[in-house]
Amino acid sequence: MKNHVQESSDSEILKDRIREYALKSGALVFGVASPEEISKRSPEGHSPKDFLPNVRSVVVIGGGKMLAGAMRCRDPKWVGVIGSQKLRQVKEISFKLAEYIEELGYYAIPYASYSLANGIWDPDISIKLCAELAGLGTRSLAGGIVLNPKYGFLFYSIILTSAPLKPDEPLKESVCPHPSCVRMWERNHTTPCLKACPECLSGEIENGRIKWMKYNRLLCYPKANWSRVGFQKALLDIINESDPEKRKMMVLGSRFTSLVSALAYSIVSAQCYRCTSVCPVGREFRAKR
Amino acid sequence: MYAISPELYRKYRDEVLNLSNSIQGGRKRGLSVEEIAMKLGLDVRDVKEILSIAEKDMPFQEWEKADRFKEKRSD
Repeated sequence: MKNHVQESSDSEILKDRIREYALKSGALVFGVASPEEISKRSPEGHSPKDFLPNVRSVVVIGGGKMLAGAMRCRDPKWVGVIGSQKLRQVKEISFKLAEYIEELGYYAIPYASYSLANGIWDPDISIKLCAELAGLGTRSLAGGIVLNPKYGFLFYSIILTSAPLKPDEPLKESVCPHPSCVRMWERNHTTPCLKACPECLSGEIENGRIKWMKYNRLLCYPKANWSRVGFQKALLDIINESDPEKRKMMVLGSRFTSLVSALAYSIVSAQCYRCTSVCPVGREFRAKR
Repeated sequence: MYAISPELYRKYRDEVLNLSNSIQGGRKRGLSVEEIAMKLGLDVRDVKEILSIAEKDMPFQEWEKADRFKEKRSD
């Protein structure tokens, strides 16, 4: 019994130290998910233990809150670039945090695979699931994005570790829909995000809760058009063009030049962020003078 | 470089997309590549290729349309 109490107390001290380091390094939110709970909800081959056999905890950090100015920027490319940079920042924090956990004497591995490292949008481990189980947010009508109750849209990253940390509980209340969205739904049968992107998103609210939602990634995907995917598409068109003069216009033209620059400057994505920029959750952080 | 046959791609494209995470919603998650392969009796490698191609397999105009769509955010 005494040993158990000691272990539990040590685990809490350890978790506090890791949390403190994460927040000091720039994370805005921190939580721990249980690898067993993740495994229960994941397909075979996509559990934390498939990547770190002695994993005992999954640390989840969230950050990279979008700049309020970016959400109001009139040039969508700026927003895409800022979003890419924010995602990178959160990844960097997770790498630093993994180093710190190893300094404390435990194995740690940040989820290093960027979404397309496997060539498809099929993550090794669902970061959304980890964030939900760690109590950092719940899925939303906006493409199932995990909304944090305080900040709204954030980027998340995870670290698998052998450190024994007490898992957090998932949130009891759903963050989405926000009360103002429920009122809007009752009046107009839409919400800010559904209205902002009727192509990719659809759903319904009933009794103040999400009744169903659908996110069509196939329609969202081309909106990340300033990216390597756009490059692939353009390259195919260029190769298929039989007229050398026209091919020259295509290769040297502005469209292809912008796509090449996306590769050169590692613009991993240029999503439109329309659904998140109108989301009322975390709005107070986007209101500036 | 490995490439799947266009026939195989055409035959399974829609089915693979529908089973995957490409369209998300409801309480049921999309299937993993391995699960799709098992369900359809295909090779994992082929499912991965089908998914990779299918998610981008639309006219380039769709990518160009995105510029106009994004511009609307500043309305």
